[in-house]
Amino acid sequence: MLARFEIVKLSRSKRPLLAAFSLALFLALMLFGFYTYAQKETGGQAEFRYTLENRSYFNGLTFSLYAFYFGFVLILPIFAATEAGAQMAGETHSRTLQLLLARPLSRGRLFVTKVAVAAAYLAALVAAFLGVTLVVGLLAVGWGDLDLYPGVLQMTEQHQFLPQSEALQRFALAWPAATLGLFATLSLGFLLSTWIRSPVNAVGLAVSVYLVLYVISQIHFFQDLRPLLFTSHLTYWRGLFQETVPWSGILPDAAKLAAFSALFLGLAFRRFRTREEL
Amino acid sequence: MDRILEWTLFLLAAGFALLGFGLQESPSADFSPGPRDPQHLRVVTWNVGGSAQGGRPLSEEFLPAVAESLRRLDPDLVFLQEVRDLAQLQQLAERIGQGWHLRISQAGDRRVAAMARRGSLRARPWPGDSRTLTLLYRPREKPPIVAVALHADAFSSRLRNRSVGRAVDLLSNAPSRFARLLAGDLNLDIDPDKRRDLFSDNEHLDVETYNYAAGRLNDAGSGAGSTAEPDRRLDYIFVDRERLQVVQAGPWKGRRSGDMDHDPVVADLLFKDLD
Repeated sequence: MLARFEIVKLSRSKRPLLAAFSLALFLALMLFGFYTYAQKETGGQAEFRYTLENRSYFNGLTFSLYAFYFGFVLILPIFAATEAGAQMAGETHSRTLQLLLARPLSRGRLFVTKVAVAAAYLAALVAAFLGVTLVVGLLAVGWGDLDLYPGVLQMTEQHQFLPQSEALQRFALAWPAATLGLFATLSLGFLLSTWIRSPVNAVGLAVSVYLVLYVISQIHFFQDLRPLLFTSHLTYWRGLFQETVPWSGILPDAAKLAAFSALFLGLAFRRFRTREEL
Repeated sequence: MDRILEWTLFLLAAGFALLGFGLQESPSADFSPGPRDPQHLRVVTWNVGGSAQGGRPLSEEFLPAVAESLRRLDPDLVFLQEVRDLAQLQQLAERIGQGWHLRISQAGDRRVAAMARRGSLRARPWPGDSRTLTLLYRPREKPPIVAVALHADAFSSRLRNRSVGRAVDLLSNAPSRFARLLAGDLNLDIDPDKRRDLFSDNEHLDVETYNYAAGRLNDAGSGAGSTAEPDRRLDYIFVDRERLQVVQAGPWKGRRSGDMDHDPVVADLLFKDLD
């Protein structure tokens, strides 16, 4: 009953619609950039004379992977933070949380329901985004095998080749793996929004903290800090696109993300359990 | 009930953390070349210059240490960067032992050099480029090798692209009876775990250059770690993927002296039986 109530609230809010619109805009811009870059790099206009890139390298699967990667690190975390902010700080601010707590309902059950609904929403968002990038890749760029070369996306340190059917299986595996990464960001958002009662501030702070930690985890100067930041492990699912999946690297990163998520949620619930609702 | 949930979450965090950090791969041990197998072709590239005073050629005081490292490696073919002149190269060869064929680029105070034994070595300078040597090495009882020794520009990704690209093109166009080899300090650092594009726009340009070489030749030391300070992979041995098998390859750590900032990179290669 409570879960149904939370789902109805989420579906009636404009958040899923706004997320879909933002992701569609992002995909359109990615498509434009992809086309113009490919045209320039393969049309003989490149100032760099010696380059491996060619038309066969740019295909629908490459587009899907690039778009999903950028969307995962730059766009989807904003929706994770927004959802967490809306679930806790938003409902505190609008006083609907107090109304819910006036019922014979444990805080634990309410907290778990909110986290579960938010996590399911994120999983659906990731699946939809991944599915749409693949469809757009198919229709607008065309199918082919997946060739990956060392590049700015830090996908691989040597050339990887996956036949189309195998690449699609890897995309399917990337869905739960990427969702776990976003769940850590969602958990951080829950933690911050149990402390901050203004939804704008809670979301703003969650996005800022995510961006600061993400940038620090990418800069080599901070390599000693890296293992301690959850953002260092977020893109662990890139390993799924290697010819031989490096499970010995992927599984520890997945466990670390689960640990960060449980820690953030534990701290968030401790605060939620002990705080006074005004 | 709520307390149980709270402690469950903390216990889950501890359990997953133990699992995650416990399962983590321990860093692999440094590459150690060991004695040379006579069946293999041992190739070494080493930038022997120093980083003091903005960069300088091999210092006389480090000559014995460099010679000792090369003597222990007992290589067939050596590519050196930042050698002062032919006299210094001859001194180095004498310290290592007998039977070396020596070639060095013509101009500049930090030259590219090649040393070979157990076969003959011919060299042709690259027109208008003192940092590149084209080599023809004919090892005894093994197929001939056409090689390019290169010290790419340290500051311009465009110049690196040109020099590496031209070298790869030259090797690609070599007659098929020759095995192909490109070695030297290419000054390309594209480690996927060390993003530098937050500071500079060079990385993605160097990636293009690297991919141009890696698409045609086999990067022998791939995955073996950094070769230069500070924790950068700049030195490469690219080999013919059809004719040469990489038995082992990587940087040999702990061989630098004083202000030297590169490790020797060693590759043991086996000619593939094409029949």
